[in-house]
Amino acid sequence: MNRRRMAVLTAFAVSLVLCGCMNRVELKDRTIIRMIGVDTDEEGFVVTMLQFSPQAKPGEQNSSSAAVVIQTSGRSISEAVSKVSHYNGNEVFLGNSSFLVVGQEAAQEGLERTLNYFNANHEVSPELYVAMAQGRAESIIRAKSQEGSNPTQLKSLVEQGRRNGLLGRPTLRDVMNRLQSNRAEPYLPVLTTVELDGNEDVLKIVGMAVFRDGRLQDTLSIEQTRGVLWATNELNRALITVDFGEEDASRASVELKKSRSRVKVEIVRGYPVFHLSIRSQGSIREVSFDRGGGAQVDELTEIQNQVAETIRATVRQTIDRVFFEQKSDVFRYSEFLKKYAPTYWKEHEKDWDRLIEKSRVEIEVSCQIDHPGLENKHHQIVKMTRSA
Amino acid sequence: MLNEQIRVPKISRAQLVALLVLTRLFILLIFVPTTHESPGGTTSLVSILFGYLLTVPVLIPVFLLLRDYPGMDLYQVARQLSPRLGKLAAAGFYLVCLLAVIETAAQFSIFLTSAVYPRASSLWLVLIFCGAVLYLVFLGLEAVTRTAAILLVAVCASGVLLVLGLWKFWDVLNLYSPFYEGFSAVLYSTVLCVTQNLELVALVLLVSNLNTDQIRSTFWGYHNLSNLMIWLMAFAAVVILGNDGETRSFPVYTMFALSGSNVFYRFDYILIMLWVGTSMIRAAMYLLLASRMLNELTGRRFGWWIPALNGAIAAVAAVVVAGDIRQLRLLYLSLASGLPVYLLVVLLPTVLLAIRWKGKREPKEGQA
Repeated sequence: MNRRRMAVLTAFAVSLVLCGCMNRVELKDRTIIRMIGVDTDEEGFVVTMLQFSPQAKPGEQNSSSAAVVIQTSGRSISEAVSKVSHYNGNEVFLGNSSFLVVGQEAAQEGLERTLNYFNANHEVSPELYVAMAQGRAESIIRAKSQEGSNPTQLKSLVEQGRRNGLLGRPTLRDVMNRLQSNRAEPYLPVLTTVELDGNEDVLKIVGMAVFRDGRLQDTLSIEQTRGVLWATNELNRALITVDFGEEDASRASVELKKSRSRVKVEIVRGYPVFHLSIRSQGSIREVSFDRGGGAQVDELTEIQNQVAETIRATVRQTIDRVFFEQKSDVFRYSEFLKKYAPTYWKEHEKDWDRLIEKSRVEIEVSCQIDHPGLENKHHQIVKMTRSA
Repeated sequence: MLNEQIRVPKISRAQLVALLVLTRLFILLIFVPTTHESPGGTTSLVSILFGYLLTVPVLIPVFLLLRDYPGMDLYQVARQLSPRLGKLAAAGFYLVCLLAVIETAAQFSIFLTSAVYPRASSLWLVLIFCGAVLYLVFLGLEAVTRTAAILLVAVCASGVLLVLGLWKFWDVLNLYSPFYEGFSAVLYSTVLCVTQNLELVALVLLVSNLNTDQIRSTFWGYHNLSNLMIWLMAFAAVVILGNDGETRSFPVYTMFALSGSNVFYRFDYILIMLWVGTSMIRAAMYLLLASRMLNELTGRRFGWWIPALNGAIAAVAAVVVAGDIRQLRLLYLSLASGLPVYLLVVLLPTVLLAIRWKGKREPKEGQA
């Protein structure tokens, strides 16, 4: 009797390891999506998807893949995505999607209504890259399909952009985090397509889109993007070229390898003052002047000061435009206020727009260049002889 | 035979601590239907600390009572001091333990069908889960505690890997004043921390299985370790997920999914494995206790049939509850309302202390 019981129980226990077989879907029955673009029209949403379509034949060791673009529309994104099954009966699988492009019009109508679908989808990774298209998202997806269906190229474009100070943290999680915040606003990198050699379209990062109340408010240039990233402590690397010396006759290119910014909040006469301090560290890449190149150690201080002044001017211009003019808090100053002056913030939260007008941002920048580089200061011999 | 296996086994202090800590960690992985009403973020961080402190005075009556009855659990003490109250206590313990099994099975199903396999059948998930839990119950308390200890080590190791995988996402700007929502929010959250500690009910029943009389040190082991782990996980959720974490149904799962995208590809599957193990251990522990209490309540030993009957009841109820989120909300609120902990861990020992005190006085008066 006991043996029989044990046999039944063992059989039951073994069945537990088979639970993964429930309602399984074969790979061939899936439409695997690598990139998604979301635009809006009168009906609702237009979703353009780049499908991963393996082209392996029996016996082939290496399979190629074709890029197939699918476009559907619906009153909601779910409805549009579900229409993909009308093409081949397959179910959409978003687990391999690594990139989401939001069209400019969709961004103007509100980012949250577009992103909610992806944030609530169990297949989508919170690290999904999100960008905005200059124009329609469809054009970005179609340009990618011409290049081939390898979205890792696009991912690498974004990652390189992050490393080189062109982009911030454009992931779904970061954007949703800012959208869920009381007053902080998200930003997205802006992509466009440019024609190469007269026929092929390639992608290019052209700046940053900033939002207010979750809707597109303004687009910034690459230079202003750097200003935002400096202010938000998200800039990893940047190259700055400054003029120095007598009558600014010399020019130095400095590679900033490390930048760190801090924000302190103070309430002065009833209004917030944000003290932004930026500390940068870098090294000289190139120094040139009319008759030679290289830098001397005693010139480093002047170059440092010029670099610091350039950073300060860039950040000042960006903050003035984005924070004070557009009233878009991509800098998360409202969160700093909530953290460091919670009572004050609780009292004035509803009056944030007026608070922005009355607040001040004081910027202090320092730059440390510890080495003049591999090249010492030198002059062209010919010129020296002539002058002699 | 089964009842003998349930009743007789003795477990060590460390084994009981591991069992209780693991079952307590279940709270990290569940869907809480009251998320939008209860305070989150940094308020919860300070509430865990206050809840840790508040739990100690709440348990004074039970410790005073158990100190004088070494080797006995709260039900046995109640039966000895007042057979009628003993029956009532057994009924209360049975009901709470059975509800805990139902909640565990339903939460297991809801997590898997919403975050992992939305196409999976809730009915089959619950049935397979309850079948596996019954098998664990058949193996007995010793086997369950040993498995719990192994799983706890795996949980700790995965916690370390989680932190390693997520360090670059830390943002201390998410840490604002815990009193931002007001002191009443902290107080409310603190009370929830105590009342939702259902494992205190399990603790007062499992002390009779200890092979030592060190009940207080067992409690401290459980209390310190479980609160430390919950606090660390809550801290990580606040600094990593920030505002978005408060809107997620399963924030800890989101963190695992996030860490996977960084270093360990698809790290969320480790969480799913641990979640399955933790849920099974929790359900098995409460099913063991429910079966024990039903035996005591009826005064007869039904052997294998009692856990099977309880398992069947739990499976049917869990299928119903998992299919309707409003039912789950009712069940969750009934367990987290504080009534089970208040009635069985605070009021019952206080009444028993009063009966005992009265019993001590009456012979003295009689002698006089």
